[in-house]
Amino acid sequence: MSPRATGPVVLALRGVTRVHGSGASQVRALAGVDLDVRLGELVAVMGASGSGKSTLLNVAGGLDTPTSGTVTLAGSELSALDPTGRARLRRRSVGYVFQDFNLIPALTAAENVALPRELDGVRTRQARREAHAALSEVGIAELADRFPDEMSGGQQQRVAIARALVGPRRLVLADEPTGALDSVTGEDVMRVLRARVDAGAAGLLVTHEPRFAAWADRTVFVRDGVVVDGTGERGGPEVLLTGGVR
Amino acid sequence: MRRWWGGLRVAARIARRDAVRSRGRTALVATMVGLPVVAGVALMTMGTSALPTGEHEVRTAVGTSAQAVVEFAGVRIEGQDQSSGVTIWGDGDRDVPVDERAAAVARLVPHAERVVEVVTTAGSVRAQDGERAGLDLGATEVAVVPADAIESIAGGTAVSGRLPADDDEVALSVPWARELAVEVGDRVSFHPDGSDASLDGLEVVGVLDDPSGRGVWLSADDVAGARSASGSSRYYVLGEQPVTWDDVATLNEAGFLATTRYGLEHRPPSLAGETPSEHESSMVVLAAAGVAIGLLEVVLLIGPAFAVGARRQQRQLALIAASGGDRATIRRVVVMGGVVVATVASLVGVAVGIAVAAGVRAASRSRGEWTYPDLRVPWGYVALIGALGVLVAVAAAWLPARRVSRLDPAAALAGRRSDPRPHRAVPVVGLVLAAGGTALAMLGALRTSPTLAVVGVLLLQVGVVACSGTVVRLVGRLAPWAGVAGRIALRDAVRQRSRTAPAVAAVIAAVAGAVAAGTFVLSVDGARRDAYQPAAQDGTVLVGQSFFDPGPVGEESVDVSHDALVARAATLAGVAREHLPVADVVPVLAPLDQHGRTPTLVATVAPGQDCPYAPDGSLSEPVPADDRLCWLSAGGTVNEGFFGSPGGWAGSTLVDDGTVLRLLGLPAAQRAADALAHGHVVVLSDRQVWPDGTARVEGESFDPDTGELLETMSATAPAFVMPELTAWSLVVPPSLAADLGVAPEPVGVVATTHEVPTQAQEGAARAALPGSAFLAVERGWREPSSSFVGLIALVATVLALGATGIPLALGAVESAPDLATLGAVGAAPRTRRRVAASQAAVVVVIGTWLGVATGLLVAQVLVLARRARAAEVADVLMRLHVPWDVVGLLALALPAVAIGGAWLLVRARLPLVRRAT
Repeated sequence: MSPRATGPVVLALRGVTRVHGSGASQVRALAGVDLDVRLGELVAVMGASGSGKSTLLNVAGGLDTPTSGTVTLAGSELSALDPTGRARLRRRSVGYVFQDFNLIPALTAAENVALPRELDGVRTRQARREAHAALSEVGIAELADRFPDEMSGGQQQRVAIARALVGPRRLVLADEPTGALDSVTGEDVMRVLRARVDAGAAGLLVTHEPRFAAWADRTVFVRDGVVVDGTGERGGPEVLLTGGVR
Repeated sequence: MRRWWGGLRVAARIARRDAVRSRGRTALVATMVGLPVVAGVALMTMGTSALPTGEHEVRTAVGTSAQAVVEFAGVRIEGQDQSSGVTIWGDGDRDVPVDERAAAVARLVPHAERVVEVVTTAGSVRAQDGERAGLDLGATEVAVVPADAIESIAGGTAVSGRLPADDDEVALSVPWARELAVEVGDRVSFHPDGSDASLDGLEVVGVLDDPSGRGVWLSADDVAGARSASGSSRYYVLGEQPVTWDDVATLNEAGFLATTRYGLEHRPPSLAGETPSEHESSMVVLAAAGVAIGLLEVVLLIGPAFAVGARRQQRQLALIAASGGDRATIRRVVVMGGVVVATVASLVGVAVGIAVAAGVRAASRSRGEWTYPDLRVPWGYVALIGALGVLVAVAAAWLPARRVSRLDPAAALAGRRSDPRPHRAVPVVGLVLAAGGTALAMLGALRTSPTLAVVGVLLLQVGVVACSGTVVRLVGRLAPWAGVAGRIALRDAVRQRSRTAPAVAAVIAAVAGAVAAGTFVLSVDGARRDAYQPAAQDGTVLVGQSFFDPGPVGEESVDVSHDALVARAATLAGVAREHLPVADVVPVLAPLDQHGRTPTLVATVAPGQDCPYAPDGSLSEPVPADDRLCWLSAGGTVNEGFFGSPGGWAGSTLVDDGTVLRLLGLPAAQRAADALAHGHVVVLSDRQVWPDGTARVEGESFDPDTGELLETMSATAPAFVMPELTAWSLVVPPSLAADLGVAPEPVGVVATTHEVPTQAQEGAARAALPGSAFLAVERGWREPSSSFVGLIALVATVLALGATGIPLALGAVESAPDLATLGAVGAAPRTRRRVAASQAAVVVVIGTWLGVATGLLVAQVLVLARRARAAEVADVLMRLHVPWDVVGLLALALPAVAIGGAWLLVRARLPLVRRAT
C-alpha cells in the first residue's frame, strides 16, 4: 500500500451478498464480498461481464441494498438507514461517475456539480461557489455555464468527477468512467481521478481495461460475485515507465 | 425546510429547462391546459361584463337626468329591491285611471318639478324606400316622449345628429339605423303593432348609442295619444331633488313601482333571501358536475404526456437519485414539470381569455349593442380558473411522478427495465369503482340527485381507467397467436404498461366524452322528435293578423267592424295565393265579444281532474307526454308545430264547423271535424271532460286600459278530446259561440299547398304582408344537432389521436433495439411499420372500445337524470338514442386512422444499433 493509502477506512463491505430474483430465475450477483477503501486510495475492480462489478458499486453507494452483510459508508451502516437516509448519505459522502449519460441535460455544468449541494439545502450561491471550485480542481472552470450537449465526452466525465467530489464528499464510485471515451480522453479522465484521490479523496473504480486499472493503488478481481484475487499496493502508471512493474 | 426549498428550486430549474427542450410535449400540455382556461376566462369575463352596473345601469334605467321612473302595478307593494328586481307584493288592489296616473305620481312625489309620461310601444319601422325591418327581428321598442323632456330621459348619446325635437322627427339606435340602412336626413315610417295606422315621413335627425335597448325615440306633443294595449306607460320624475326611500314607499303604497337614481346609487341591503333556491342549488351542482367531469377528462388526456415524459426522464431521475435525491425530490421534479408548463399556459390562457372577451365586447359595441356595457374582469374567478389549470396539470403529473419515484435507480442507470410492478389491488379497486360508480350514478339519476350522479360518473370513469392496465395485460395473452409484429406490439404494451395504460386512459377519456355527449344530444333530439306534434300536415300555411285589443295610435284606430275584418282576411288570402303554391284557403274565425274584443275562453277542468302541481306552479310529478294541458298550464315546454303554443295568437279559441280542422290534415282532425259539425266542442285533455261527457266553456272580457271585468259568459256542449290540437287550445262550434254570445269573425286564413313552400317563397310572402300580419309554414320536425354530433366526434378523434401519438412515438424509439435485432435476423424493412401500426392498434382499439362502453353508460345516466327531472314534454319520452354512425365511426375509423398514421409516419428503414461514443 502506498503511503497515501494509510488514511481511515471510508467504505467497508463485510460479507456482502446480493441476490436478484427468486426460484429458478434467482441470480447471486454478490456472494460474500469483503472490501475496505481508505481515504487517499483508488481501488480498481475488474472482472468479466456479469461478475458483479456494477452491483458491488451500487451496493457500496447505497443505490442498491445487500441481501446480507454490512456496508459501512463514512461511519454509517447502510442497512440501518431508510431510503431517505441513504439518499442523504449520497448527497454528503459519496458521488457516482457512470460510463455515459452522466449529467442532467437540462442543467449547466456548474448546476450539475451543485446539484447534490442544493438538494442538501445549501443556498444556491454557496452551492455555485463550491461547484466552481470543484470544476477548477478538475481543470474546466471555463465550461461552468455550458450544457452537457455542448461539451465533449471527456469534459462531461470531468464534470461528473467534480460533482462526485463536491462539498464534503470524499468517496467517488466510478463505473466504467472511460468506457465511452477514446483512449487519449480516457487517460485524461483517469489522470483527473487519480489527482483527486491523491488530494485526499477515495475512489472505487470499476473497469475491464487493465491500462485504466493500472492507475489504481490496488486492484481486486471479482468472479461470480466473489473477490477471487487482489494486487498489493503500487504506485501510479509512472511506475510502469520506471520499471517498477511486478 | 431549507433542504425542501433547495429540492424545489432544483426541480423547478430542471422542469423549466426540460419544457424548453421538449417543445412538442410542452406545446401539447400547454394547449390542453390553456384552452379550457381561455374558454373559462372568456365566458366568465363576458358574463360579468354583461351585468349592468354603475353609471351604465343608472342611465339605462332613468335616463340622463331623471330622478326616477315609475310604473303602475295596480296592487299595493310591500317592498321592492331595486338591486335584484325582487318585489314583495302586498294585499289590496289599487285603481288609478290611466289619464290620472301622471298627476298621481306628481302628487305622491311633491318635490318633483315635473312628471313626464313616456309611452313605450312595439312596432315595426321601415325605411321610406319600403325596405322593411323590425317585424321579423322581434318587437322594436319605441319610446314616445314629449319633445321638451327627451334630453332628460334618453340615456344614449348621439353618435350623429341630435335628439328629435318635433313631431315628425325621430332618432334611431345604432343597430336599427344600420338595420334599416338609414342615416341622418333619411325618412322612415313607423307601424305600431296591433294597429293599421302608421306614422309616415318621419325624419331621422339622430343616431343614438343607446344603452336602453330601445330602437326608436319619437318626440310627440300628445304622448297620451300614443297609448295602446300593446304598449306601456312610464312616468319619469324630473327635478333636482332625489326620489328617496320614503318617496318609493309612498309610491309602493299607492300601487306604483319605482326605480330611482338615488336608489341605484345607494343600494340597500337585498330584500331577497340569501339562501339560493333549490333550482339555483341544483344548477350550481350541475355546473360543478360539468366542471368536475371536464377536469377529469383533461387530466386523463394530458396524463400520457407526463407519463411519457417521466419515462423519458428515467435515467435523468436516476442520476438525481444517485446524487442524493430522495423519492420526494424525484416526485417534485416530475410534478414541477406540470406546474411550470401549466403556470405559463394558465397565464397565457388568462390573457388570451380576457383578450377574447375584450374583442367580443369591442365587436358588439362597434355594432352599437350594449350587451357588454363595460369590460369587467372578475379577477377572483379568473384567478380560480387559472389555478384550476395548474391543479389539473399537477393532478395529471401526480401518478406518473409517484410511479417513477419508486424506480430502481441502479436498474434505470443500467438501462434495464425499471417499471415498478403495478399493485395487484389496482384492477380489483378499478372494477369495484366502475361497478359502484355505475350503480351510484344510476341511483343519483333516478333520485334526481345530481351530486350522487356526478360522483357516480366520476368513479365509473376512474374505475374504467384503473382497469385499463389489466385489460392491456389480458389482451396481451393473445400475443402467441399474433404475427411477429403484433406479438412484439402486444408484449411491448404489456411490459411497458406505464406508457401504454395512460395512453389507453386518454383514448378512453376522449372517446367516452364524445360518445356520452353525442348520445345524450341525439337522445334529446330523438325525444323532441317523438314529442313533436305538428299543427297540420307539412306545407300548411297560416296567415294571421296580430289581433290584440286595438287602441288608438296617432289619429287612427283599428277598424274591427265585420266588413273591415273580412277585407283584411281577403288581403291576407290574396298574398298567400300570389306568393305561395296554395291549394285550398279557408278563413280562420275567432270569437269577438260585443265590444269587438277577444274574450278569454277556457274549457274548465272537471272536478278532481286538476293537474299535479308543486307549490311553485311546476308539475309535482311527471305526467304523460300527451297530457299537454298540464304541461302547458304548468309553463312547461311543449314541442309542437308552427302555430306556437295555444294562446299565442288571436286568442286561443277557434270557432269552426269542422272546415279548418279538416284542412289541417292531422289523423285525428277528421273525427274532430265531424264532432264539431255535430255541435261538439274540441278540447285538449280528458281532464276537461266532465262526468256527463260535456265540456264547460267559460269566458271573460276585460277592459284593456282599466283591467275592469266587462263581461262573463259560459256554455256547455258535448266534448271531443283531441290531444294533438296545437294551434288552438279550444275549438268551439258556431252553435256554442252563439250560446256564449260571441261572434265569429275572420282573423286570418289557413291554406293547404301543392308542395311545401320554399324559403324564398315564404320570404316573398312575408315581405308582401301588411305591417302587423304574420305568416307561418308547418315544415315538420327538423333535425337540429347532426352537425354538432359530427363536430364532437371530430374533436374526439383529434384528441384521441393526439393522446395516442405521444406514447407511440416513445414506443417507436424504445423499440429500436428490438427492431435492429429483427433486421439482423432478416426482417424486411416494412416490419418496423408493422410493429408501429400494431402498437397503435393495441392502444387505440382497447381505448376506443372501453371508451364507447363508458360513454354509453354515462349517456344512460344522463338520460335517466333528464327523464327524472322532466321540464318539457320531450323529457318524459327520453330514451337512449345511440348515434351508431358516430359510434361506428369512432370504433372503426379511429383505430384505422391511428394505425394508418403510424404506418405512414414511421420510416420503413430498420434501425442499426451502434455504440454511443
